[in-house]
Amino acid sequence: MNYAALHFQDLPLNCLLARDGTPQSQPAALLSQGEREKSHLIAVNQAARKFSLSPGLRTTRGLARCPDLLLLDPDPIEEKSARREALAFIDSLVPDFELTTPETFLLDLSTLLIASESDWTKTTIAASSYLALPLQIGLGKTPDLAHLASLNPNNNNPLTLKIADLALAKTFPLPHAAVLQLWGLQTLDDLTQLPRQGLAERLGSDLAQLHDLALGKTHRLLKLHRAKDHYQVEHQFEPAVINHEPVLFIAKRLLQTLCTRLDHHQRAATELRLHLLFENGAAHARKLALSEPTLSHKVLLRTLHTHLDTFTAPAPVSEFYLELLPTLPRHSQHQLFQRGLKDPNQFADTLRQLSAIVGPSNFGIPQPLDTHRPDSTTLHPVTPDFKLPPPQENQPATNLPLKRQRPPISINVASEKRGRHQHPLAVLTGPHQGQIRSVRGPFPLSGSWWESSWQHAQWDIELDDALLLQLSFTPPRKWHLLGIYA
Amino acid sequence: MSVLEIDHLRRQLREKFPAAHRATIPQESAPAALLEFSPGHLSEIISPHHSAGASLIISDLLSENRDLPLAFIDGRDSFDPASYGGAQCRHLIWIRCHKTEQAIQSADLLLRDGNLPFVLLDLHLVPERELRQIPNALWHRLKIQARDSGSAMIAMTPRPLIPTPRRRLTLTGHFSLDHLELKSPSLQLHHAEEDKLAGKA
Repeated sequence: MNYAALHFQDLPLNCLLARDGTPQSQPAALLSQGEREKSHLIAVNQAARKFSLSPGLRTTRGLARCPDLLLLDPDPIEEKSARREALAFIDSLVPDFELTTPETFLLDLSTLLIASESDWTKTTIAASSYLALPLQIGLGKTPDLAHLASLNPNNNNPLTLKIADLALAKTFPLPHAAVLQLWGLQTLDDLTQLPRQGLAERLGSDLAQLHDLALGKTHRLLKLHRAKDHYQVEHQFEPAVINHEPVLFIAKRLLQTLCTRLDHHQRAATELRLHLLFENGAAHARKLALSEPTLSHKVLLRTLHTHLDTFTAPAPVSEFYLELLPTLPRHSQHQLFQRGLKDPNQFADTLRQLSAIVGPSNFGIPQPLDTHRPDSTTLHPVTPDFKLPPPQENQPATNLPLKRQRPPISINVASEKRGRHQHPLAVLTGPHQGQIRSVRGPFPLSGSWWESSWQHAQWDIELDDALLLQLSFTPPRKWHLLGIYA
Repeated sequence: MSVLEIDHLRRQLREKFPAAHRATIPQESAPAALLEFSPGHLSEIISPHHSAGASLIISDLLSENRDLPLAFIDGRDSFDPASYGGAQCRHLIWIRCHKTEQAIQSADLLLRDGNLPFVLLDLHLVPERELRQIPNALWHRLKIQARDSGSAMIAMTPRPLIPTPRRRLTLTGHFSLDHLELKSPSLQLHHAEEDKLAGKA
């Protein structure tokens, strides 16, 4: 059997009975809104059915048939909570399931390793005991056969399902149920004994479809249920914690759960979202993008660890919330003649740590700006996929590269005026002093006259000890050491 | 098999089948061959004189054709991208450090990470007082990390610092202002110590 149908019978009513601790043997019914005299029953439990009570019956008539009938008003909040719990229970069983009706779930068992179907059924019923809701499980080789089996309260065989019960469930199209019963047909097995073509000609194609379903001739695909808030967990600390180690300890376990869930759904995490709530009411939210989709909780934990290492909390952490953004896992093969990163996620983590050491604005791919102003450079951010900046045609400024002094050091230079420019003769102060052996220059530079204008004359000098320096002279008498030709 | 071994394998394939990789064969000059990164090892280039051409090493290394960028840890924030041009700088990750401690931490991090196979640590302009504070044990730690991750590092220093590097080259160049106008000033390397130390590394 590849499919199982779990049917929570009369869930809106049974959740109220479970809340109040009422035994299942107590006949009970849900009432419609309005005055009690004019109201009718909208749901009855199994015990009430024994008194021939059914939905749609007037309340007064119901009480006449069963004086001990417990009448309850619908509680949408309780019902919603019960549905959520039932959904979580199903989700813990299998990754792929269909929410066929609000009370019935169709499970794909093909991904599970089941030794015995009866054992699995017993285990599942035992596991659902905390819900305190009556559960019927049907197994079948097609989804619809499993569904039909789950509607049969007495037997797991779908063919023994009574046509009256099927009509009451209203989950399969069953026109002319009364006609079938008049013909003396009691169960689906009786229906399948009739010739399909004759049935279709006399009572329509819907019955022919039901005929096919009962014989397992049609095998539809499940409409898999995917919860939107599936990959998120939260945890509250009581009392609040003052360092990040307890957060990481809990996060490790929660991330394992989320990764297993992702794995079941053939997905991988592409982003980790973290929300921290602090005792003083402050909050911290951060999206940690992963360079490559991953299913490794270790990678996710390392990413979280790195972030928490570089983060200072304003107060003790009282609650945290983790969410993984799912995506399709990436399968790629490395190329023989082109090297890629060994572990992009680790590299992304390294970049984050590097950012903490030197500052986010102090590393990147340098790109000289298209200007004559000295030391004009931008840093293109580094990403694990190495998106390069657009190519530039800047030629090297000199043939012997310069090592810049940042910021330029103010120095005293002995000079004399020759023509329009001050000509350097000796460096008197600063880290490199001495007589100037030879010079190149001046190279007058200026720019930005339309806003904050700048102007200076550059000199390349060679000291007596063969040191090559670059100086700048800013009128009227300021000299700076710009760098060393190294 | 480490990435650097794969690099050697690729190189052998390129040499054996040049026609298939005509577009990707890197043009290697003699200094570049000397400056080759040793996989999983630390090498040292000493520039005892300020203007001995240490920046030409960076220029040579940047001119090589690499799949992954070169990580350049600038110990004194003295790198001048304009001296190299935009095209060469595209294959460089520049890490600007203002303290020696930052430079050492960055080198430690990148060697441990092992994703970038080539790391260049420039301590050339770091004052002697700060260089003396770097313990020998730290170089040993970096060597172990390089060995484990397969990354290679070249440290540019003003005097011998690394206890037993794989290679130690000394720059003996003397440049004058005339070299600023030469099209390609060449490196002058003294590598007598290379043979002496090769067995110890």
